Amino acid sequence: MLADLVRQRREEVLAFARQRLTELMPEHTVQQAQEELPSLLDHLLVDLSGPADQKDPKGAEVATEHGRRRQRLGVEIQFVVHDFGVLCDAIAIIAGRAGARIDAADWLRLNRSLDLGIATAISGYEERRQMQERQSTAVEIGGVAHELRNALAAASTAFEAIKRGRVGGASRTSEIVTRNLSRAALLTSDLLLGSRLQAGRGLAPSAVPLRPLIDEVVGGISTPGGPPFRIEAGADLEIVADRDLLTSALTNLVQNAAKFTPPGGKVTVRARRNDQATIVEVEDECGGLPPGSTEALFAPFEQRGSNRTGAGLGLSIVHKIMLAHHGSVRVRDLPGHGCAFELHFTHRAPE
Amino acid sequence: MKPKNGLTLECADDPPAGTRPRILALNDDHDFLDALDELLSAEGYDVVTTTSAEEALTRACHWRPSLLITDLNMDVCDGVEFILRLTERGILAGVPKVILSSAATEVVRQRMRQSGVDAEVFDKNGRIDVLLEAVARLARRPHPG
Repeated sequence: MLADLVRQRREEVLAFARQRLTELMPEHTVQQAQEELPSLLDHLLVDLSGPADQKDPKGAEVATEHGRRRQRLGVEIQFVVHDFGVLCDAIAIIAGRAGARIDAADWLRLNRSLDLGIATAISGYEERRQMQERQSTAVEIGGVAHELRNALAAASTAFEAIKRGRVGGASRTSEIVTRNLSRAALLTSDLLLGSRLQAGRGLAPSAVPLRPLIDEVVGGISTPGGPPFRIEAGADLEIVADRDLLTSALTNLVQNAAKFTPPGGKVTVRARRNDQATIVEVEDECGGLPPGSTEALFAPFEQRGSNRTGAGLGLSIVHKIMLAHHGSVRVRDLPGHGCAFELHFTHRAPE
Repeated sequence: MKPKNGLTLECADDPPAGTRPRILALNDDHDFLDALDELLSAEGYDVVTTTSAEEALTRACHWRPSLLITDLNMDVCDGVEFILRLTERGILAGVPKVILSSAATEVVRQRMRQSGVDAEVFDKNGRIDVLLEAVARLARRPHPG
């Protein structure tokens, strides 16, 4: 019986399987895979000792957890299959070396156990991946709701002050109302665009002249009390893009720039074209980025202390919008001065 | 005024009787603070606002407000933890405190009970007249120490 042979040569089977794993698996996952081999083999052995038509092979019992652990490690799904495959290879090879023949009933037991083990491990893997995705969406929505409530609280408190007649309608307080209502509107449209992008609905591309678009976005954001804007964009520059998405990306960048530029500073919006791409750039005078990875800026709700609060969702949406356009968003740190966020629209060959 | 040790600060005396009630507000949203300042100043309070927990701590000690209003969920710190820090240092003991929250207020009250923090919780997006009434009741209340 195959089970007896595997039991006798357990260490040999494991050694072979361990070796195969080092050849097959990504380096950082080898050790964990090797550590899990004995328990996978033990369950396989239970199945190999049972009846050939066993309804619920034991191998599946440990497999769900096994799949979840692989997902947690960030291992790609195909490697979940390898863990079981190397055990099957090892058993066949070691049996061969021992001159033992594997009969049909044993093959059946082995295959059933492996099939169910793999299927269960993959379900465990997938279940955990989906849970993670749901969690990150929930965190994102929670973050927007929080920012939205902050904007509304500022607007309604300022409105209350005006209503009580203590401050004039053209005051700084009324600007707080305007600024925070447009912040709330932008957050809401970011949410809508985010869900539109996530649903995978296609873009609506058209030729978009950049200068009028920049004028429109800046016009919607500039206020008498806010920083002055400078626009440097040739009248002839245009790109093919989804106008709504492009407007949202630029609005996010310009609003962030206005928010983080202290009194006395200005915001510059430029558009230019080089051999590879058309670039729209928003430069602020925030004083420069704190040291650390600029990549993390584009993750939802990346918060870096008090000086870039609330940029989280906006930048993550900008990143998604640029991906949908086969472009990219980059940031240039201008230490001691500010930073420049760039939207890169790569030139594409005419289709 | 040097700290006696790592925790205790030597704070100023109470403001003289008859002065306008003082309100110290901590929040990480400039616009909200500006609007709140406008609103409360018009109601006859002396208001100091700050986005820095450190500054709020120093102000609490040296300016001796009659009421503290702090946001709950801030990037710089957490409102409940901020009040705990004050308590540890013996600052503003007996002075009423208000926490403004945009999250479920009951969860916040539960957290406060667990950590022994005494403050009133209001929804940041709730009715402002309700908040103003509470501020009037708390800030004008005579308090010990």
